[in-house]
Amino acid sequence: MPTPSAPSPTDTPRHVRRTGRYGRGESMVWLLGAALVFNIIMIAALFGLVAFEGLRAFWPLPIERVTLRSGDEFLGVPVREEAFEVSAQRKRELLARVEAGEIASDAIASDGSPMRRLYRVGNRDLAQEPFRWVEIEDLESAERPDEPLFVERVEWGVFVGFPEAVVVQTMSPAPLDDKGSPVLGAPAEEVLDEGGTPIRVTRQLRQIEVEPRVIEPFVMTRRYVAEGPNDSWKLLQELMPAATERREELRRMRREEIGPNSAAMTRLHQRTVQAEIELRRSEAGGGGRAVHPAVWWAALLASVGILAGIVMRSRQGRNAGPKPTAIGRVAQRAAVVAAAGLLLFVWLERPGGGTMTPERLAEINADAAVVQSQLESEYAEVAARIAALRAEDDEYRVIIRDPAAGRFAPERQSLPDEPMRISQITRVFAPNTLSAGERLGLYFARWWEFLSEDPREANTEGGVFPVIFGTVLLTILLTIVVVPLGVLAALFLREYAKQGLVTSLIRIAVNNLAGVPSIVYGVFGLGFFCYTVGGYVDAGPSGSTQLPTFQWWFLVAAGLAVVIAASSFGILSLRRPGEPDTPKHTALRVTSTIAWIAAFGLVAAMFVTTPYFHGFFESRLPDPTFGKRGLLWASLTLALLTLPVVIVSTEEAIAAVQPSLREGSYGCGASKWQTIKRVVLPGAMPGILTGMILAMARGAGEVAPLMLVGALKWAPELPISLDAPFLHLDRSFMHLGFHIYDLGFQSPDSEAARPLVWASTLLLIAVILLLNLSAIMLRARVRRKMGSGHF
Amino acid sequence: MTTPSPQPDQTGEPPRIVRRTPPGVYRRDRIAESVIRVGGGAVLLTVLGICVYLAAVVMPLFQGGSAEPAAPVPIAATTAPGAVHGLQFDEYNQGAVVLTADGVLTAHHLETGEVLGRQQIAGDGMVPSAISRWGRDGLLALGFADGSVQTGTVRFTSEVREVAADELSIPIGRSRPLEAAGDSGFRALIERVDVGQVRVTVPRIDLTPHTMLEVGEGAVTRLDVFTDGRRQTVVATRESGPASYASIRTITSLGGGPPRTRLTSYSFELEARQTQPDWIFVSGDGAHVYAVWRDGACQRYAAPDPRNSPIVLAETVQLTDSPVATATKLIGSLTLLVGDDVGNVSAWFAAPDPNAPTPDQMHLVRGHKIRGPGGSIVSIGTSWRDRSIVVTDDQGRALICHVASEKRIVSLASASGSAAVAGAIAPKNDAVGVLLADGTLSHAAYDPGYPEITFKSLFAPMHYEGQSEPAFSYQSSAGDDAAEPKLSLTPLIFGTLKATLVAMLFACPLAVLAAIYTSEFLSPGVRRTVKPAIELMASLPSVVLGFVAAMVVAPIFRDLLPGIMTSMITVPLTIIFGAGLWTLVPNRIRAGFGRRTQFVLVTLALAVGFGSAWFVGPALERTLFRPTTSDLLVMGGSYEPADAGDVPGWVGVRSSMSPDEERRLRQVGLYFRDGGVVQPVEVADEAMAAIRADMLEQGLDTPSIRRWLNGEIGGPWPGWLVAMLPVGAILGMVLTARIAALIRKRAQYEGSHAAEVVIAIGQPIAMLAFTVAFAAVLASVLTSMGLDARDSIFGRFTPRNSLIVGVIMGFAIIPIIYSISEDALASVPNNLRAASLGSGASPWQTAIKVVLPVAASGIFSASMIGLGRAVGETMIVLMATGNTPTMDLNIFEGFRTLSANIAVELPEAPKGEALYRVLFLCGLVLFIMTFLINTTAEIVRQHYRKKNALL
Repeated sequence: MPTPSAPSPTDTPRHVRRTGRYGRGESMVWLLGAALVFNIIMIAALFGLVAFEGLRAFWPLPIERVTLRSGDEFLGVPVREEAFEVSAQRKRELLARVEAGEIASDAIASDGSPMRRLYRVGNRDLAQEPFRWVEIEDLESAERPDEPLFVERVEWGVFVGFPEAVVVQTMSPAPLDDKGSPVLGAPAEEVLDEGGTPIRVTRQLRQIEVEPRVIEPFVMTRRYVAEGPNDSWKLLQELMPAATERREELRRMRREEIGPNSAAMTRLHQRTVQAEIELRRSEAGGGGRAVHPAVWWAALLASVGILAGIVMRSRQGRNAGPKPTAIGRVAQRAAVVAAAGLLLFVWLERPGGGTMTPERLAEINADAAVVQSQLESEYAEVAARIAALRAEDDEYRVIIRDPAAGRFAPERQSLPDEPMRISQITRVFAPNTLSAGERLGLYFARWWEFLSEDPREANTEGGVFPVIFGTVLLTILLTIVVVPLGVLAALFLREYAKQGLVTSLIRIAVNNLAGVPSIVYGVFGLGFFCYTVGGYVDAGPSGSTQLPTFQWWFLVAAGLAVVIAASSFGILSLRRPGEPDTPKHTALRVTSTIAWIAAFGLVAAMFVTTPYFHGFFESRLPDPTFGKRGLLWASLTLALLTLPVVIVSTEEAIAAVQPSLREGSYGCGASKWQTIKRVVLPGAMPGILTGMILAMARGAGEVAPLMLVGALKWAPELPISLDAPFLHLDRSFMHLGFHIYDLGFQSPDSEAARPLVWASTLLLIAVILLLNLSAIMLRARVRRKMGSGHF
Repeated sequence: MTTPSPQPDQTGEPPRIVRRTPPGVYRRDRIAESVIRVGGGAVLLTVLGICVYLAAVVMPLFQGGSAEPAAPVPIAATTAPGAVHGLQFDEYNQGAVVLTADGVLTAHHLETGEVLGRQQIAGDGMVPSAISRWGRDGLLALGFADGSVQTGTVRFTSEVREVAADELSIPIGRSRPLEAAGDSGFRALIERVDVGQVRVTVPRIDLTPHTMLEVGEGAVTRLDVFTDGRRQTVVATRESGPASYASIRTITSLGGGPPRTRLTSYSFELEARQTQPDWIFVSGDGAHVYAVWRDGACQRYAAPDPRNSPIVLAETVQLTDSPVATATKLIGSLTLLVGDDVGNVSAWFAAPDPNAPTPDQMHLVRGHKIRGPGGSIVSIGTSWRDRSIVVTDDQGRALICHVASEKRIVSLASASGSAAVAGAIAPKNDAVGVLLADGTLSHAAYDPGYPEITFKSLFAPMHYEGQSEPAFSYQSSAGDDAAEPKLSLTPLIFGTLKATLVAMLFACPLAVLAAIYTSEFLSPGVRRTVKPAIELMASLPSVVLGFVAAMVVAPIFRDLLPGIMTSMITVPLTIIFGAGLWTLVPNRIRAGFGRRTQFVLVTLALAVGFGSAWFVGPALERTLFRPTTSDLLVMGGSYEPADAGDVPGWVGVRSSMSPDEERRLRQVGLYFRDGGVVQPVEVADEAMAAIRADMLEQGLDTPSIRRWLNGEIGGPWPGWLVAMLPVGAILGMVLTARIAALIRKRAQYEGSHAAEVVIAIGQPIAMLAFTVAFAAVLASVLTSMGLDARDSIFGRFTPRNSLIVGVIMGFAIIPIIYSISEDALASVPNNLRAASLGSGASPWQTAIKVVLPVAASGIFSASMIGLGRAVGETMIVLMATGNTPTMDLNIFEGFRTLSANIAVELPEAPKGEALYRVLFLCGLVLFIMTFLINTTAEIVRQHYRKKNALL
């Protein structure tokens, strides 16, 4: 591209109007450039912002002991500072005070607005706001003592405080005096000498609810195994691994031993419920044999006969013989379709199918009772083990005190006198004594926790593992659905459909569908997949659309007849080699297409009106199983949403396969399918892959339709688990995009959630950029390959 | 593929032995073909089926109701016109009760018409002298000759119990009366609901004890009642003396014994008319009493707080021109329904109207006028569930229609043609019954469909209850049955268009300009990195953009509003200025620098532009958006009541004023203080200084664009100035370009360096001056016309506003527009450029006069595709606006788009209900909008492809 000042030749003829020496339109070019620079700067700023905020989200910050001028004192982690708007009068006052040296100069911003600092003070269970704004001018001092601990807990979020003691706490039944009232039986407080170190021991009487509404007296003995900040912190660090192990073990037992047990219990219950429903239906006269047994046997024989005929015929055909005539082929097709219909009849009307007797129900119930008692005893055994481990865990406790509130971190908010169990701590560190290496280690450990753990505390703590899992699974499922469908549709459009007005209209429509708002797909998904299809899967056709058995079979017969007709017209419309295309052929082809569409309609009607199907999850009603938002419907919706992307890119790729290759293949005598399979598809593969990756990227970043068809703020179970059927397509799931929306806008504690939102955002952007970059690179590679004439 | 297939022979010689193609190849070919045909066709059909499915879900909204009339049954009761007071059915449509004007209640079995019992409603021998309208849940009040009243309910009750042996003969779904009468004096109906269950339904009268009205004398002549759940309010007229407004509370003593009533009554004088009113009504909020005469006159008495202020006549309104045949109240009891002799039903309700000359500043307005079934109207029955009514006429016809939407749901006609004396809608809105003068009762099951939805209610302004005029409103969450859902899509479509417009105004120029630069002025190497970088932006999930908009951009805009608004002027100016300076550098020096230098310089100019805006913005705020002297005077307390002649007519008598109205008043130099209109009083300079100091102390004298936007300070001129700046800038640019051209023309042959210097330095300065001057003149003109920008494009500032959505959504669509535009520009054949440059045109001239026209259609279609994307964008709008469905142009106000509306409401919408279907309609509208936009883009693109192929 020439430079703008280029066209200014020095020796222009006199009479020609000279272009000025000065570049015309330079200012406009600058404006154009400014637009581009502005765009680039904004994009860079956006990515930079997300990267910066996301990366610093887990950096461990120091704890400050803040003393205010009012004498208030508290511990807190400084989060950020900002200036805030006040009246001009106030600004002037502040300025004057700064000049007078009364307050530090960093208390005000450059325009005189006062600054304030946000401290994370945590300790939500001590009934205080977890974040606190402090105006810098109110600040007396902010120091960083070595001792304070930053405690991340399983519940109630962060606790900031000084370690005070580590105690081992045991309970023993309280002895009773002669009047029957409980006594301590030992001094309330004493100092024991154990192995040379004096250990303070306190005892207290406690009324404890051992069973619901049964309260018994206990003596609680607390041995202070470490006291003082340094000793306690040291011992706490030693005890942490074991406590963590106990917590994980308890969690594992609850999830892996209790979980399957109760799931089995539910399944057992559903089986009996299902049996009861079937019994009721049998008694009401439905679901049983609709025809005389003789008819059934006749149908069975007929279907076997026809099948045998077909098999023999095809054997003959394979060996040799003349090519069958059109009529012969029609007859062949008709026989196949009729056999299929008869088999359907034979299977649906099978003896004993769908009938339930009171005797059989009693049998099922008896079996269930046996299994149930077995399950119950297993449950009791696990529960006992859990209780034992829990009792051991209960002994180890730590006292961490908040100097401002004067109270220590309790086990529960309702038990303010019980120090928290060590196993309640997920991570604890003394941020002010960390070395640079430890800080870095902690930073990465927190990232790892973020990536590998479950969320806690309304998603404001813990990690996003299920979220990533849900996103990835959804993307994989949608890819599995969308790629074959998209390739099929593209092949049809490019290779089989007659190019003309209709195909170009379809092409415009497909292109347009790529521009239809994603929320519209969500609306469609909710209405069609979740409610209509899902409701059908759950409960079968609704009562109002069900047909009586006889009429339904009539419909089936009609459907099969139309299928035979459509297929015959299709066969008859085929030209013999060399025969010209006559209006007769065209008419037959069109009729065949119409008949096929009618056949589709009839088959759909068969499904909607069948009296034989009552849903796969009848026993769970009225709770829907598939008739609600879930993974399957979400992935189907997103597949539909991304289908145009795959169709368009596949079509382009197929079109880009050089015609000479295709012609070469045909010239060698390959059939159409062989050509497609061996030449077209491999040639188009990079394009298909690009389409697939673009679809994945689009699908992974969509949120709006997922809000309607399946993403939840908190899904208790992963969609993949160890109990059958392993992949639970009916379950709801969590999704990164929705997680960001939910954390950013629906979170109860938005300040605490903020680092996590940024980290999630960074994660999402990273995943999508990675996918897109790979698509772009793939495309570039393919173009290079094609351009360089690989073939 | 396992079967061997013919391989191309490499040697070129035909193979000796031709292997026959195995039959499997053909079979697979056929299978593949059918799979691809059927599968591919089905996929495409499914994709296209989305629209069909959405339409199928929406369709029922626009369908009317349907009815299945049963054969009329004769009932042995008085059915002379005027003698029947009311008709009611039970919830399961098994029985009916007829109340006659003399207080006799007759119950019938609906299937056969058999009488289940007949009794005097108030007990034997007690003939009421007046009976109120029979309202929702069977509520009514009775007045007696001795001046006492009773309130209570008359309705069916039912319970389900196990089937008894002798009831097994009843088929499921049918009913029959019991032989013996129960405690209530009526025989119960037994309906077999299931194999083992029956439902027993029986009419039941629950009345409070007689309570003597303390006001007035003689028999009670007219009365009406409403209940708020705890107490009943009865309004009654007596033969003589004032009318009574009484609140009755029933107390059931804990120790047993009969319930007692406690009465609080207020009296009010009915203004003199020749006769007593024919109907009297009390509204459902107790704030209005309506007295209606047969000649169509209506007096409205205002009772906003009867305990503290007397009930007074507020206004007299002529409800109908022809005589009133019947009158009743709609569900919620706030709307008065009047049926007249010529067959019209009018719905009237009180609506607040600040200009109304009434003491309570309310006005009785006619919300709807509905054409009845044809003949003179005899009765109006109201639904207990929604705003449906059944109107009957003197020729035995009945029409069910919905009052709010004026939709005619079902009409019924009787064979006999005798007058239909009463009509009633069943409690569950699933049946309707009409009592004819020939003594028959016809009953029809009906399906109302979606009566509240019409095409008009979705898109046209609707006159909802309590509003003084028709308006577009969207408010889906109705508290109970009596509240009306307002489902106008117009505010949502408006919001969608507003968001799209702002986004396009922001994105289109930026994207297209950047694309032109990339394609025409950037070296290919840089282009290869810049373009994918911007395209990457397209893949950024909108949830991230929305989050950043709400968390980062909104606070920045809130804090730096003046600077950001100023930068829209300073940045282009700085760039033009910078370019001017650059042209002054002699060619030979400039030629030494490449494009990269220009890039750097442009970046610098940008930085300078934004930097200057940072400083100039607050300064401008200080000068433009501060309280005026009169503002300060009034704030400082120096004011006096305004001259009556100066006060605009619209102010009227009032005790309060909305901020917008105060702002309108301030425009004529008046203020509203302490309940009156005041004008500032000039004070001496020292006093003024004192006021200033005082205001400064209180922080009221701070200039603030946000306070100005909220209408608290300042006049309209600064707003117009800002709004007119772009117009001024365009005028200024054209003018200065002309002047520059003139100067150049004169200097041309001399090639004057001085002229170029003047142009380079003078043009931006002149442009700025002209811009400001033009804007100031326009602003003065508009201000003198009495207009205020705060009524249209400016207004109250909300932190999450259209501007932010526009900017962020702009970012979402910039990459799309940029990328497609750039493709279009890049595909312009290079020989055109070469020809243009070769003819001596500058690159700028080439770009603008040669390349751009060729690529224009491509750029247009790029913009359309961007537009389509903006229309349907959901997450950004959802997160970065307040999502209030308002309709105003104010760019500092939020809105709700169709897509955000779906996202907000669909997760909670119950399946199959009107709201659910309306949300599907939102989806369909979005689908159609984007489909049209994209198709336009596609057609234009195809067209230009063809055209360019010729180049």
